[in-house]
Amino acid sequence: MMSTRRTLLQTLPALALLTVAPMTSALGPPSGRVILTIESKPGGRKFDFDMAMLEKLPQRSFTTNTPWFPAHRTFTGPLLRDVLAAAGVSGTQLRLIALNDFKVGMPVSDTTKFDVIVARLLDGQPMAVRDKGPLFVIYPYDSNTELQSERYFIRSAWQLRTIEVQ
Amino acid sequence: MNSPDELGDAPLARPPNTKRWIWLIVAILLAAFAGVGAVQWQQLRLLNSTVLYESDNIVWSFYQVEHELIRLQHALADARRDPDHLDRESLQLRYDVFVSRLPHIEPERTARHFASAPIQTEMVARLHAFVADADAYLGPTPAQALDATALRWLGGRLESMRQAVHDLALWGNEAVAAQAAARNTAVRQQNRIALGLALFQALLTIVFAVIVVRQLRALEGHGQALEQLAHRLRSARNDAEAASRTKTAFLANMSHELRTPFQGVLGMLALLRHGPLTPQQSAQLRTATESANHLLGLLNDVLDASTLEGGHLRLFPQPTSLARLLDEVESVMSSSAHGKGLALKVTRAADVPDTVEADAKRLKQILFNLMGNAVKFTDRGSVTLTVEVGGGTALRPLLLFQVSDTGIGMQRETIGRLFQRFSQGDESTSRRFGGTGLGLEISRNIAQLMGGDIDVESLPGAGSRFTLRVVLPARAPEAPPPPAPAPALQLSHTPALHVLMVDDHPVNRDYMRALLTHFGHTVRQCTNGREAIDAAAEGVFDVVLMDLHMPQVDGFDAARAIRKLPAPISRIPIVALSADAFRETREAAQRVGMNDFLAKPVQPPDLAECLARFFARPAPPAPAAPDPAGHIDPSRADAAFAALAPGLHAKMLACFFDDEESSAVGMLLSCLASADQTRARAAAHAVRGAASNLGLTRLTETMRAIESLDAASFVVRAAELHAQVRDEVSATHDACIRAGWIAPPAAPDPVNRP
Repeated sequence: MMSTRRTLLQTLPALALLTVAPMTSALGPPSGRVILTIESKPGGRKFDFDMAMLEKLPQRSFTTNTPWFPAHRTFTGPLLRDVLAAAGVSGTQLRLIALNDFKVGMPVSDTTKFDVIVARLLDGQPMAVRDKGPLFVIYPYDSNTELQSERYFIRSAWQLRTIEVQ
Repeated sequence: MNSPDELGDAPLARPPNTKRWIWLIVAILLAAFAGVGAVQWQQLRLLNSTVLYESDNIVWSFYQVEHELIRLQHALADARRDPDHLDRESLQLRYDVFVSRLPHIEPERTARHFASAPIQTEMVARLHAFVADADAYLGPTPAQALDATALRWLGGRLESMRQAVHDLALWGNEAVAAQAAARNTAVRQQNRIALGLALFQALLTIVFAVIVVRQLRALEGHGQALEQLAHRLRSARNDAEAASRTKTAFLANMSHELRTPFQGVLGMLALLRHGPLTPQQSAQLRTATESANHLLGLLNDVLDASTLEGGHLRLFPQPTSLARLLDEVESVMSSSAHGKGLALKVTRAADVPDTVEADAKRLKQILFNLMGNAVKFTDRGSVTLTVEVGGGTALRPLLLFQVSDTGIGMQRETIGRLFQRFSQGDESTSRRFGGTGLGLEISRNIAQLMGGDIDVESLPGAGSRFTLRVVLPARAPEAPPPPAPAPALQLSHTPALHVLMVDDHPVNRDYMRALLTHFGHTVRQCTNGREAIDAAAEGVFDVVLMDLHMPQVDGFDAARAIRKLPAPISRIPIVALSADAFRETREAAQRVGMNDFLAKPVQPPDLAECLARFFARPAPPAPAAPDPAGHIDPSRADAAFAALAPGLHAKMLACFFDDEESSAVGMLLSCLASADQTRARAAAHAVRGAASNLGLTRLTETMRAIESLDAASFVVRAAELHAQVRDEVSATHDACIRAGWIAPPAAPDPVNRP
């Protein structure tokens, strides 16, 4: 309940930003190490993010149970749809690729239907690679029982490195 | 008729056995449902465990560890080949990815799916040991430089574990397969259990359905049994009602049939009464008359009761003077009360309206019944009738007619039975006092028909009080009706008639002939309707008196036939005679063209009045105003007595005015002269009875006054009363002469008048 309300409150300014200013120009080119690359497949256009750029996007934070941790944990990071919008890409299907070359598909509709985030903080701390970091795709599993299934668990890629958009 | 056995036989109660069976089956069904539920839940849990915690496939995790180990090995080998261009970042990433996979194969993580084995715990411990050592070069805070030696050492460590990690992956695969097999077996087992339970459930449901069907059939059977029972009860009730109706009709017919010959008896007794009789014969005749009257009363009771039961009794309310009605009740009851030495008192409260709307005949019937009972059951003391207002409005007062006595009283249980048919106080009183036991029932039914009721208060030995409560609408008092001429006088206004008298009953014929002849008419008798029609056709009669129920041609047909004769014969007045006084009979008679109706037994004044209606001449010049001073009142004279025997009336009057010592008046005068109150009171009472019957109003009042005097007043006023009585007797005598009731001295005897 708490988390849902917070989610709503944080969504409003996020939407406002989305409509008022084009993100690409505001975020600028990455200055640090690139940790996430968005590739628009048909055009082959690439958009790189460093951690600072992801930090600049509106942040969403929620606490949820997951299959990967024994207890519920708090995840923080930008909404996946904000990240895609910031990259200025559009499409219907995503392909999430992890550091260990794990690959999984996700329909873009997931990003609008659910508040999927690209978590960069676990309980407020950055995640090391050995802790499934630095980026972890997280659905708000506890807010919707539909999400508590293998279909969505498999789409929750950890050690996320690249997103291909088709 | 149904026997109680038959009625009680229907198996209306459900056998308790079936009930127990149903409960048992319901319990088992519930248990089966619970079992199926538990199995399903168990399956859901199994499924959940696979869904929730296998998100990262365990086998995948084991192979991932091996895979990342090999990739790290390759990366180390690459770095060793070209230590000068060491891609530390890439090596670091491989190492970190390798480390990140390790938690997924830890025993705590896989414990949910299968028990850990030494191979797993040992291997995990070795891997952790490797990481602890390697972190010195590749950890978050490397303590030593990653030189060629370190690379070789790390590579060697990895190589030494590679085969073991591969074996672990295979073991994991096996374990998961075993776990999956176990789960499948469990699911299969549970499916079997569920199937068994479902079959069991189906079986129970079938059993249940069979029982329900049986129950429904039984219920249907019960319903039919009940229906049959209801049918039998209905027909039993119909039988009973039919029997009751038959009984009622029988009673009505019997009482009615009895009344016909009775008419003859009474008529003949009445005619006998004024023949020359010895005192002994007079006494016998009086006894016979009293018995006959009593019998007639009983018959009337039975007829009333059956009429009430048949719902045929109707009330005919009309403005009625309560004062006059109460006087009449008092005068009728006084003789029997005084005969038993009881004081009789009738009082009417000042606020009781004089005139009310009531069926006088039925109201009197109730009061006669209540007072008659009071007198019957009281041996000493008094009987009192008081009338007072007990509520209601001025226009519709609730009147309380209270009849109190000082008689034997009643037990509480007796009171409870009192208004029931044929019940008297108890068996002993019934034997002691006689009667039909219908009187109170009739009275109460009539009271209820009037919208009122009768209740009773009584204590054994302390007397009883019956109260008739009824609302009688008050009416403006009518102008006192002009004193109706005594029937004796009226008769003289009806000319001698030629009467055709039709009746199949010889006693009735004789009675009617005697009566008509006595009135100065000539009579031709016919015994049936056929004869009557022939006789009427002769055209010599003034009036036809026609019995209705006769063999061959009855009164109705005869009347119809006469009406079809040529005029003017067809217009002859026809008077119906019937003991059957139901309204329907009267209406039927009217429909066939009969002009009037006389109920049997025919009372002489009724006959006279009826004939006068058709043939009365204008009254001859009144023989002086009857009596302006109110000494006499012809309307108060005993009408029947006067009508039947005008001569006797005159004789009785002459006897009354006889001044010999032996007459009642002479006795009274002598007692007043000697101031003997006890005897004077008895004499006054005797005089009052006679005076009242003869219509001598003033004297009746005076006698009443004398009877009610207390001892002191009597002594003081005895001489004064002596003079008053003597004067009034003389004045009344003169009034009677003026009214033509008795002949003036030396005038011809009125008996000889036609």
